[in-house]
Amino acid sequence: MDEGRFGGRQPQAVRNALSVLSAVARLGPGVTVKQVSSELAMPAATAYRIIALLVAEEYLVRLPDLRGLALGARMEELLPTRLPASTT
Amino acid sequence: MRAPLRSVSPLAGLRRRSLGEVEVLAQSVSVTAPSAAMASTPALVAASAGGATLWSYGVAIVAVALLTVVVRQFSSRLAAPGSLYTYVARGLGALPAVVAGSALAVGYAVLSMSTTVLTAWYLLALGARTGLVTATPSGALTATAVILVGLLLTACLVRGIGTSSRVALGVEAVAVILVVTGVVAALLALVGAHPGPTPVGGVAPTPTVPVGELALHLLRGTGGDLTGLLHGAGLAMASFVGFESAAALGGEARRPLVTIPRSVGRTVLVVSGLYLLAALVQVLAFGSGLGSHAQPLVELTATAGLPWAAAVLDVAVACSGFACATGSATALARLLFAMARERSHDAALGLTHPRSHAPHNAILASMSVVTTVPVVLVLSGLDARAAFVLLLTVSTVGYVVAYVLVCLALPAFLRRLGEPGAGRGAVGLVGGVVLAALLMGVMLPTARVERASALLPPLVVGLVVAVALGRHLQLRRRDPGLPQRIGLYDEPVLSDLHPSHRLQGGAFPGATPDLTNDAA
Repeated sequence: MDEGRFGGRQPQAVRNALSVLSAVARLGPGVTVKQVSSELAMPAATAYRIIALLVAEEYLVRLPDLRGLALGARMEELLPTRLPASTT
Repeated sequence: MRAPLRSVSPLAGLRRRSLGEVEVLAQSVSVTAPSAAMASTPALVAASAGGATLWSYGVAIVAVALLTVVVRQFSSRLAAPGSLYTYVARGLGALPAVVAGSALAVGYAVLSMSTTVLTAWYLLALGARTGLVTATPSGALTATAVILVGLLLTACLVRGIGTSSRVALGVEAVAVILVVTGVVAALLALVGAHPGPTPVGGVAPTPTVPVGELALHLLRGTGGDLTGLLHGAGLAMASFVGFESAAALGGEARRPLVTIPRSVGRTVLVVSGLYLLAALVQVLAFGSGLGSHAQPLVELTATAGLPWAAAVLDVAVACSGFACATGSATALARLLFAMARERSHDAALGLTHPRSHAPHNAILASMSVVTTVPVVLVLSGLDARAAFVLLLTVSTVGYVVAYVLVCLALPAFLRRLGEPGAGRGAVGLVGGVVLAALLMGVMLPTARVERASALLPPLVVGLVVAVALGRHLQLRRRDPGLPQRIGLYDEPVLSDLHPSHRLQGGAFPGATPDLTNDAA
């Protein structure tokens, strides 16, 4: 397979990954994989695979209960955010 | 478990996110010690499996492939210095985890012992070749060599993981190149079908039948019985154990959920190829008599007209043994460290050094045991090879017990996560069954291994596991929270989250109710 070529099912994979990220951003920390897949009407197996990849790359984080998800610190490379002075 | 998000990792103190991909790979490769295994294991396998040696390797490779799938599933989800121990805890709970953890500790500790002995043995062989020491070193001399190697190891380890893993990888890379060169030279000499220049030293191994015919004969596996094959496969496992040990760097690797599973997979791919090559060449050269040769590669290269290669191989195996002893002790220290942080062990073992960030108390505890046991064995009259084989077998039994449990833990873990994974769960179950069969194989007496020496390794492991279980049950009577703490991993902390998701108070869907900064 030519690694430099962009085609086949890759565009759909990129679209899926981005829509998972925005779903987690929209639904907030603690959202589960099941909730993401039903929100996006995406097959659960696909959602699990994409989320595993995004967690491994640290764009998403698995919370200590190992079910909930949150956006990872690496997202800050994409959207630098200044932390509000206080979040309380 | 609904745990609050912390601001500091429960494993704080290790140098978090400091190791790159090369160092992580180095950990797995060095504990697997491919060059030492290529030079020493085929003869051990052949001693049990006879004509079925290659089949034994085949069975071991199937078992390792299944196990690799399992380890990659866990290591892409959990960054855990306790590696298999923590994985089992997350799948099956505290008691199976104590069994897996103590068996794995035996695996790491005794592998480190056996390769410390291996290093000393090959260094002495090199000394004998150059006339520095006698060809049959006394127990006291061997013991002194073991102690020196142990001290050098401790010095490397306490310097910190960066130093020890770089030393280990450099050393192993050189060793692999040297051994592969030796194997290829031997192969060329065999295929060339003429004996080459006059053999210098060693016994000249001559193929008794033409190579092609012999290969067919080997593939049919004649001359080996099933128990011999299984026993051999168990010993072939000895050359793979440790490939999963990159997982022990879960607390220290950068992007651990990517680099660790990748390193584990790559290590298995490469070493499987190397082992098949090494086993094939040695079996072709020596036939079913391979089992009676102590240093077959050395003899082969000598026959191939490369007398200098023998000394080079001695250096390579000594280096590989040293790298393996370092890596095993590294993994053992992380395992003890993780257990100490759960308060399954003395809290002092959970301290890290302020400068090197190495878990120095766990390292010193590990290394004192790792050096003392082989010294006692050697002084009690075992020669270096016998001590090496005994220790290697004990270690392999320990590892395989942990491997069986981690395979069985995968379906339970995926269910706890709520992930659909019937296929992967089935891989875990099948892997567990195959590995259990190998474990039985190591315990079975064969035509060539008598009952007493076949049962000793499982007895040693069983004893350690029983003591660990007893201690755990005693501890949890005083400390009922202990079972809940087992399974500690490098969980995400507040700073791992994007700032917009560092909420407090837990007002979000999905309901981890208490996402608080406990240091605030």
